[in-house]
Amino acid sequence: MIEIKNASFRYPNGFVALENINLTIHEGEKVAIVGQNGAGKTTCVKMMNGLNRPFAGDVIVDGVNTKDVTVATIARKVGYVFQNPDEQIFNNTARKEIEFMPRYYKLPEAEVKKRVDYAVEVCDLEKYMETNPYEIPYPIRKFVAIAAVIASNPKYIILDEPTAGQDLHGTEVLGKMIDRLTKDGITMITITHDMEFAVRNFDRIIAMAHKNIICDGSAQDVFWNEEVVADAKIKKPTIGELAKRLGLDGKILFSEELVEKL
Amino acid sequence: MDREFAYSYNEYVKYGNGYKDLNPISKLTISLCLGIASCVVHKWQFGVVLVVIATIFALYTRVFRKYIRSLAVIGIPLLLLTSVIRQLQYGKVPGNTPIFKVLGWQWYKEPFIASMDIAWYIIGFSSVLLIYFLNTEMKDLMLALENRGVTHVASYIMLSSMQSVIDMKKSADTILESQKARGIETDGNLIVRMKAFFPTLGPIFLSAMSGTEEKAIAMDARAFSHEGGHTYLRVLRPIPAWEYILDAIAILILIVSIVYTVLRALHRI
Amino acid sequence: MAFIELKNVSYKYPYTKNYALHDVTCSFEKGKFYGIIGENGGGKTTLCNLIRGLIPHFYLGKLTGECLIEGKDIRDWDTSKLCSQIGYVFQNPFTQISGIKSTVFEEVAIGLENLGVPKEEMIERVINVCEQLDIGHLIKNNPNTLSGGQRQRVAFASIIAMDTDTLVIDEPTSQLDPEGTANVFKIINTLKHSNKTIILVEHKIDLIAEFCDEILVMENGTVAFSGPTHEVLTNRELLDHRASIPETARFGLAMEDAGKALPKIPITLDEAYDLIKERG
Repeated sequence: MIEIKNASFRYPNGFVALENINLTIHEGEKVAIVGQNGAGKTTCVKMMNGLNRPFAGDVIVDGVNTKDVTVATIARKVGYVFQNPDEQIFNNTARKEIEFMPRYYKLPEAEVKKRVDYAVEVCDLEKYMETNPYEIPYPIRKFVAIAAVIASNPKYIILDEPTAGQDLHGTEVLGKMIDRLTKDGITMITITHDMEFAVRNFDRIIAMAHKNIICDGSAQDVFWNEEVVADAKIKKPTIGELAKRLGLDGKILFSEELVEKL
Repeated sequence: MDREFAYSYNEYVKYGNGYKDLNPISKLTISLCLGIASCVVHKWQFGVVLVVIATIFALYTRVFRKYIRSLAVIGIPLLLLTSVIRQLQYGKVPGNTPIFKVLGWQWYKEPFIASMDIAWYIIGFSSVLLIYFLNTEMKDLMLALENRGVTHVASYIMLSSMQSVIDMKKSADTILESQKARGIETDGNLIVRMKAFFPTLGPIFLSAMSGTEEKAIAMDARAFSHEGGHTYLRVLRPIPAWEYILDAIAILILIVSIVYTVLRALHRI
Repeated sequence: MAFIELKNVSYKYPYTKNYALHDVTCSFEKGKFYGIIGENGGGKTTLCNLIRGLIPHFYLGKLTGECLIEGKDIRDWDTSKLCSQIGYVFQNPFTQISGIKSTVFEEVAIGLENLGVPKEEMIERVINVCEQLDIGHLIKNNPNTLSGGQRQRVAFASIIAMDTDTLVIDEPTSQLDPEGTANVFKIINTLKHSNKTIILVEHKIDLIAEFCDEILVMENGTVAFSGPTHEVLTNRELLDHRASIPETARFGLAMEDAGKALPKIPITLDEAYDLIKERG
């Protein structure tokens, strides 16, 4: 469980980016965090792995307060995939990149292989294993970065804008990946601007605005709350927008629901 | 939109300060000539005079704080080191005149003057160049060079490399965070930090370089390789005659210094 | 004669085994707005590189077939002249900022400086473009301190200032947040009414549906489908070909499947609303 209790965060220059955040994420959940740039999404999520330490309040990951340990220690439990894979990848083949953390932890060879195979299978990277990551197209390179984090076997994985720059196929693989990982017991937390993606793949949506969380619930709770949509400046998924304009009730967000209604 | 700002490009580049508005190449010529003269003459008096002049300009161009800080960083260790080393090396040479005691240690005049000569010529040289670099934008220097025939390709390489270094520093922070976040321990003893160094080094250089091809394409789309006239939005003011005179004076000072030093050396012999 | 014509073009990047473009034949007419969609690796960017003259002048490799721009073969074009005809904006907002100018105003003027445009004219053109693209409030800022979305707008401005007849725009919003995306699409909207020939590569299919006159679907280096926007985006076969179609079109097809077909398959939100309302 990740608990953020009354946490406030301030940058070194004094600017307060988060005020009194309260949030609990239980194991096995699928959470998407949405909101405008500057609302505090990344800042908040960086508190979960200790990159940002609150000046007031606490962040507790599986019983350990993030202020008491180093980031690398928490990283064993909370994996974080940054938006830009090029800021993370430094090995010259995808295989070496994915194996890096298991080897860094000095795990036995069999365990390393097991983790790498799992990560590769989930991310569909079989044919790129011996390729230099910089020769892999950018959208697939993002998967190499994700696989590298999966291989460290964290309990929670945070994905920062995984859909940026992806095509339809990539987004589908992402969806399948999230499903598979949650089935295998990993808690998935995502920051995304792609509302359709959020609605399709995540049960719990957290909308942020003005340095705080303004709504925390199901997709229907968030996207059918006009105040929240306006405040967080998020876009309703197209079908939802259409249903709203038609004045239909039932908080419709999916094509199938709309077809039935009409 | 601030139209006044937009139309201000119709005028010559102006900083409103006598020193800053001098042509970058004239200023460089003057600074280098004086600085090299200081090295050639190798006497503390020349160095001190230069520092006084530079300090006056530092006040005039309002860069005093940065100037004095940089100068202190260079000067203070230099003064201490040279004077101490010289005393250790040559203090006890017979015939030396004792001058004062430092914490009970007797110091002598001849090595002291020699050490001051060394320290001050370097400080003098540094002071004039500091004033130059604190007050001159690289883009203005490159513009002046382009006016003298340097290609805009060279100018681009110079300026974009400088910007790349700044960008690399910024991305270094994000990259460090990224590596921490995957579990690479960065806080701790020296060995731990060294182990963390390599994974962060790679992405810094790689990301700087991987953008190069795209940058080239972007510049090509902006007609970078267009042959034929190149015009400028920012134009430096035409060089007034008196600037050339200043240049000439500086060059003259350099020549006189060289001649003086050579003669002095020959005299010695 | 079409403005840009490709006849049986095949192309292979150096040191690669697979052809990036396979026997592609298509043409682009002056003044129309074209959208190019398709999966990553399908050849969209390669097509852009070809039209821009980067293939074969910058990326060597093996090019066969004919690619004519205004009747002249691409191999005979001088790329420095081509950039005054065909503007190019691509996805990375960070590599399109030169890094050598300290104000946005100067950054937008770069192309004009290189082309030798007289200073007074340059200033007027830059002012106009900045107003058009709503970046007037940024002109004093250092381009290196701008956000991704702002940089992309500045990149657009520097190309639009060059006033080329054609614009090739390759995934301009893929690295941007919704606000940045919305701003870029405002820009593209103004371009639509300008009689320029626009070739836009995008994944955001709902937005492509709004602007484009015609669409090409690229897949494995070939043109799988092409034609007027409405025709292409409501084609069921597209679903099999893994190209995205707008949510509203998906919805329209689902209605058809459920036996509740609408008179037409909608590709935009407004269209869907109108069609449903009509039916009652």
